[in-house]
Amino acid sequence: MTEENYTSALLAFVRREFLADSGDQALTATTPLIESGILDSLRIAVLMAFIRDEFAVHVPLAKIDAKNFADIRTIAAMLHEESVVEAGRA
Amino acid sequence: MSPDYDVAIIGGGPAGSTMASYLARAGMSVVVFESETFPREHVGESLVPATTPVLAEIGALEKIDEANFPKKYGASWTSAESRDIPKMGYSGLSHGWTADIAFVERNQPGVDRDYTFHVDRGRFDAILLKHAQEQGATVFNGVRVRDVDFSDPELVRLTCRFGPRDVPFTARMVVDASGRQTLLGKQLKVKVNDPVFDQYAVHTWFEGLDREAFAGDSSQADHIFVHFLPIKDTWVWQIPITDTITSIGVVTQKKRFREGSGDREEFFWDFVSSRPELFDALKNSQRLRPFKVEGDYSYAMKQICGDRFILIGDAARFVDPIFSSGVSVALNSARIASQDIIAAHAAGSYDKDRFATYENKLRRAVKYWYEFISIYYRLNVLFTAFVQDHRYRVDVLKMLQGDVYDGEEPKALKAMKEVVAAVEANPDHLWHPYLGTLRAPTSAPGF
Repeated sequence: MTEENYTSALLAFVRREFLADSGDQALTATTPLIESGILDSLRIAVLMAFIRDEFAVHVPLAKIDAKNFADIRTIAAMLHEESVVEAGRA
Repeated sequence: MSPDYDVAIIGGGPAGSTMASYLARAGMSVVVFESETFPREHVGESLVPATTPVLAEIGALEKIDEANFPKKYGASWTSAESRDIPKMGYSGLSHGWTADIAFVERNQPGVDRDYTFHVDRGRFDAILLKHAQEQGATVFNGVRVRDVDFSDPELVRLTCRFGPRDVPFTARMVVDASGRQTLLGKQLKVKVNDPVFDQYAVHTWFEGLDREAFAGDSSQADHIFVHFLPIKDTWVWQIPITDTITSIGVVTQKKRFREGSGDREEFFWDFVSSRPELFDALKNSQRLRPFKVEGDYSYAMKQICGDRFILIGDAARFVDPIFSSGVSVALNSARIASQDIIAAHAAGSYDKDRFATYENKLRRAVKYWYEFISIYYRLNVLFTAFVQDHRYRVDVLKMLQGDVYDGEEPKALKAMKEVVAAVEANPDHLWHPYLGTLRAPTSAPGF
């Protein structure tokens, strides 16, 4: 999958799961996820499960930091990197 | 001189009555001294499937089945994870994730069914004690053990209060199943209060709570629910007692209770109001019993056995009840200890080294419970993460089933400890701000 694929899938998931009731759909790939309150500890866990099940990418839990989860774009970049690493291992 | 009984058991709760059944079925002479008159109220109403093989082994499972207690098929957690996060224009975010797991997802050795029970402990405990009597144990209700004298190397002397007078009894050994009263632990000065989990619970029963309102689907309505409050280290249990009665308890740190007015009713409603949907549902129900308090929360014993004595159940150890481990520890400690006692009886010696298998097994099992509980309080979101991860889900379930008495350290426990260490070490980790304030000592021998 390309980084763009990850980005659009993540955008759709976050809109559907975390913003459905808010009526505010102004989410872009660069909307800050933490400061905006879109992601909290529990939602990160939910998002990690989605990433694992949907993309079959296993992101180590230790990588859940402010840099990697700043916005959708940084998550997509990290997933791309991880998937390359996993493909290399396979 | 020949003692009155082979074994004297202090306490007729699930630990004591299970021990009595095992020993009586093995042909030993057993007496149980229960200070109260059954049935009586008791906290600790949700079971785990690890109780099933024990109930089957002592021949009591059929009686429990016939009692029609609500069936417990699994566990659910709800959370209101929204504290201290600036919203920057986003409003109405959908909070309140539910995680759940069902026992049917993991086959448990020795367990023939995909459910266990939630029980009214008044009825449950009375069934088990009556069962012990039917197996041949002598049972005294309303008789309090006042003193246990070990000075004679050949036997144990008990002083028991029958109405207005003290009556002496003798036995080859004594089993302390006195529960949180910890009779022998106090007398022998081996009780150590847990320095970390100084928890406190306020609980009662409600009539007419709409349990389906909290369930993802109606099949989960009779799960145990653990509702996390947006207050650190604080949660609420929701346990079905009958079709219409639900047990509700708030568990928090004792110091938080002290910070308030000290009024238990006020404390209960004040804390529950941090989850408005739960508050409203409870306000629309009818409270059936006065609020009751459990303090002096967690403790361990420097010794759980010695020459001519064994401690079992809550008399041996009490850990925070978040995983419904209480009755499982009672029944399984009785099961494991009874094997050592029966062997000791056959050998004609009741010395401490006869009880080594029990001591090792119980200490190891309770250590696993304790470590899981510590992680839960330290970073409870990990449970949601692990329950959703197919690599660990079944392993977390093994723990929730109470299947910890035999075998290796649970795989999920090791993995969770590693994640907690990584989060603790990295201030930029997004879970770092969610670390709880409770930190258990990793090396303390008693814990």
